[in-house]
Amino acid sequence: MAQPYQLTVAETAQQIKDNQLSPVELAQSLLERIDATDKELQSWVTIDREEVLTTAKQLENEAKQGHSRGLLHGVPVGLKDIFYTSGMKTAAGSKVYADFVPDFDATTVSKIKEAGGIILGKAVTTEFATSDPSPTYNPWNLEHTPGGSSSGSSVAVSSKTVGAALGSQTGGSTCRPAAYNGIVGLKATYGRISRYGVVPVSWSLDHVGILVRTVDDAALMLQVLSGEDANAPGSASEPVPDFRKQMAEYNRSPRIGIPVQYYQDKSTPEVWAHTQAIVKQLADAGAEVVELGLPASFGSCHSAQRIVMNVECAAFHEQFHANQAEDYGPRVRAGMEMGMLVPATKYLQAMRMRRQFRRDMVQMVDQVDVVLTPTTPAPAPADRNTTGDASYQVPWTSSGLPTVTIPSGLSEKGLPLAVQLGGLPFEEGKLLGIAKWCETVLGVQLSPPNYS
Amino acid sequence: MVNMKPTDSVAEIAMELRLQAARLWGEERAMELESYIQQTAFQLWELGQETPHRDLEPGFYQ
Repeated sequence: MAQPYQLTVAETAQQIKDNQLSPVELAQSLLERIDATDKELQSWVTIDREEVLTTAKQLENEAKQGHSRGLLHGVPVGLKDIFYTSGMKTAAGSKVYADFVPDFDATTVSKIKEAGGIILGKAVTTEFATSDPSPTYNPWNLEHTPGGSSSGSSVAVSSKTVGAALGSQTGGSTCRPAAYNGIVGLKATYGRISRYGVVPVSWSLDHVGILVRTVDDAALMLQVLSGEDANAPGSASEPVPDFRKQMAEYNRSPRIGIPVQYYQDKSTPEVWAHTQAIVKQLADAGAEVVELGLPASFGSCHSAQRIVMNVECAAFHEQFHANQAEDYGPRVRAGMEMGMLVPATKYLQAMRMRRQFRRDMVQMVDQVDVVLTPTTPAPAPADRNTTGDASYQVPWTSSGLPTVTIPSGLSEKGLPLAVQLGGLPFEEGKLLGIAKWCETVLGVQLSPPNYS
Repeated sequence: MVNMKPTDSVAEIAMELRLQAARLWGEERAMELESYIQQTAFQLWELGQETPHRDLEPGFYQ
């Protein structure tokens, strides 16, 4: 019989609803799991055990009386340490925010609580969710990077100290660490999930990310987190559909587009051969596969993203930088300093190119049901001084289109490999339905051997 | 203020960035930033090769 910590979010929620699992038992199981694994993996930074168990007890009493607050009743969720938590430190992995205790919850945190979820704790982030590596270890191989910037959230889910955790993505910070750790990562359409109360890197690029172990769990978490937020200027007014219902409708063989150009050249031979084998497996199961050409604006999308990110990061940090530049890590500091050097005209040209790129991406994706690429050019590098390569996420982040990554196998060295699926704006239900179909066809669920 | 022309080469853009970095944070810091300056100069140059449609407005919130 599975231990409580091994259950997925959907399984946990159902068992609690059916009074087969106690929220207190589940919370204790996860806390014990953290005690057993996290001295080595270092994926958590703040946990208020007393608050977790008190909340779990309250939710247990409510469940016994047949009351459910919502989809996450009694389910613990982890938060990257950039999400504001009222009364709980939110340090963003930095010295600059080391003592910052917000006096309100991020909208996403409020939504989790309203749905009956328990905030298990804060997961390690790279400094200000950028590229100076965090102390977290990859459970698949301690000598390889866990990726970033949502390193703690990804490792916590992979090592089963929590079933779901929130991350963020400004370049590749959700889907890349998800791939490196063998789990599912979802970056919804820009504006679908509120960023209010999330320490920003770059307002126009930042997305909240979802890290889980199955596509079903991604849909469940998206349902809880989605919706317009008057406090967030970038929040979208699109209605929130029933994602799980839509997912069920689209759980069938799709028309898949493969952009070969760029991805074939940039991927390692092992990753490209693996991706081709995955595509063949999906085609054999009934998918129609077509090759796609990339739009001309793809050529500058990485440069545009980097310019915008650096400038907006510089704007946010300008005052802190003026007074305590030495307190920043070398990469985040250098990035914001580059942003301070960029002329306003160039920033605006980058923003114009992003709009053009988004239009072009929509046209490309509209030819198929989903676009499939490897999630990363290579498995997690054997270098803890890097967070890895985000270049396959950047086009989706910069254009704001939704993407999901699912594990697809192991490399020769036993590291997770993954494929990334991208869809049209605000069509996450369809995207997740196809991802679910792929997940079923591939039948790959990964668990790090030493942390199973 | 960084002064850049659309026709500037990567090297010319890098020179402008280097001068401004030295003005803001000193020669030593500008030298420490050299690899970032080279990357940023390339990114700015690459963007300069693009000609957005004249009616295209920037997209802040997509």
